[in-house]
Amino acid sequence: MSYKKVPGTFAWWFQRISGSFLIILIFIHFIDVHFIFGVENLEYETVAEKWNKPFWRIMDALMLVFGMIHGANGIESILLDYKKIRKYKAYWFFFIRAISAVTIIIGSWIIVTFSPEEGSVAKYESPVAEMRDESGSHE
Amino acid sequence: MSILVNLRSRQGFIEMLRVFRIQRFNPEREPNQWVDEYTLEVNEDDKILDILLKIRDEVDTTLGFRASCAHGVCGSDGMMIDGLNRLACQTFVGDVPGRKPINIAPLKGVPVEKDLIVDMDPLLDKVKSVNPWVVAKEHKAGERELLMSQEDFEKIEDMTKCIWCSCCTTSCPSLWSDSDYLGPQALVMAARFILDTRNEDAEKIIEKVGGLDGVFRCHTIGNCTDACPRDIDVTGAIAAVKKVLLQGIDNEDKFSNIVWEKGDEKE
Ligand code: SF4
Ligand code: SF4
Ligand code: FES
Repeated sequence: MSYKKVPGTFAWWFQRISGSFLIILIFIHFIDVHFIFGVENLEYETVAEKWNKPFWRIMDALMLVFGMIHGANGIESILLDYKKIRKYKAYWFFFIRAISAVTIIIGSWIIVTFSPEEGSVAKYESPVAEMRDESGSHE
Repeated sequence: MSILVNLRSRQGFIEMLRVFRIQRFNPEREPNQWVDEYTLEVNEDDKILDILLKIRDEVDTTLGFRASCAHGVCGSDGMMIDGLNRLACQTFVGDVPGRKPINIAPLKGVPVEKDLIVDMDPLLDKVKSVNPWVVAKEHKAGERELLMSQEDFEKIEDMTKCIWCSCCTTSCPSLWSDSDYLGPQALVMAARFILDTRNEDAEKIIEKVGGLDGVFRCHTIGNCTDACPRDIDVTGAIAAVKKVLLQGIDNEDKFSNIVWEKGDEKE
């Protein structure tokens, strides 16, 4: 017999599970971006190339979905701690959930449909790289 | 107010001067709380309660505080000593190291009635609201004796030591932001009677602790465990309740360990 129907139990459980997932995902992301890739190489071309491999697309999609829901869930639980806010719970929750839904939809839409056109990667001039070249700090 | 008193001189103990800053409140005198300072000559091993008694008996008879057993059993003298919720009868002057003034204030999050005396009713109502008792539906009184296996008792033994001092609940930041939050004291009682294998009405407790003011307002800050004078693993007890909410209790398994003892079987 389970009491999962008690409101809040699922939110609490999901917060632990998504939190543990995020630790792993963000750790991989951190190691990859900072040590394997190197922050100085973080430009449009490199990310576009990275997204040629479905593995990284799935990784980024998972991070987006878990991160947004974990964050929204956490804000909801913080709001519930305040009795005065609790009265307007329905409005707050709608607002928070709408924002995270829109973010997740736009984000995953880009992750799924992104495909650099033939040659566009090469054509793209990174403003960051330009700035670096001008200042000569790249050397 | 600042008064110098010689608390006691005993041979072999180092005496020192310590300042006690006590938060006072008397609605008949003025609407706000104020702080009185008392400087006393004390020993490291004087209890805070000894000092409060000394102040009340010999310096300032208007000082109000609760105490009864003076041995950490009745739970009536919980207060905030040097920023931490403690029993005055279980805290020594030496527990506040150095020579800095010792701040003594009433418990936070509940209405103060006078000086160090707070209104305990809201806290005790919370404990009552979780039905902290054993309900034996099928078995009428006198018919059988409800026994528990040693193994099952050991699971709740820690929680049975609670003396209802409310040091835990009034140290909880969740209570400060939501005065209706059940609080660790009530949740320890809930855990104790949910896990009690003799209780056939744990469902009712679970319903109560699952509400908006219930167990999920706890964010495992752990102040309660630090405050508990009986060294109860308060946060652990709350975690046990959360686990029950998530996984449920297996009712068949729950009652399998009960030792039924019929009067006639004994003969
Ligand atoms: S562990 Fe939970 S009940 Fe204890 S002080 Fe923290 S929030 Fe309050
Ligand atoms: S759990 Fe500990 S701190 Fe809380 S009321 Fe019981 S004895 Fe006091
Ligand atoms: S006076 Fe009874 S617990 Fe301190």
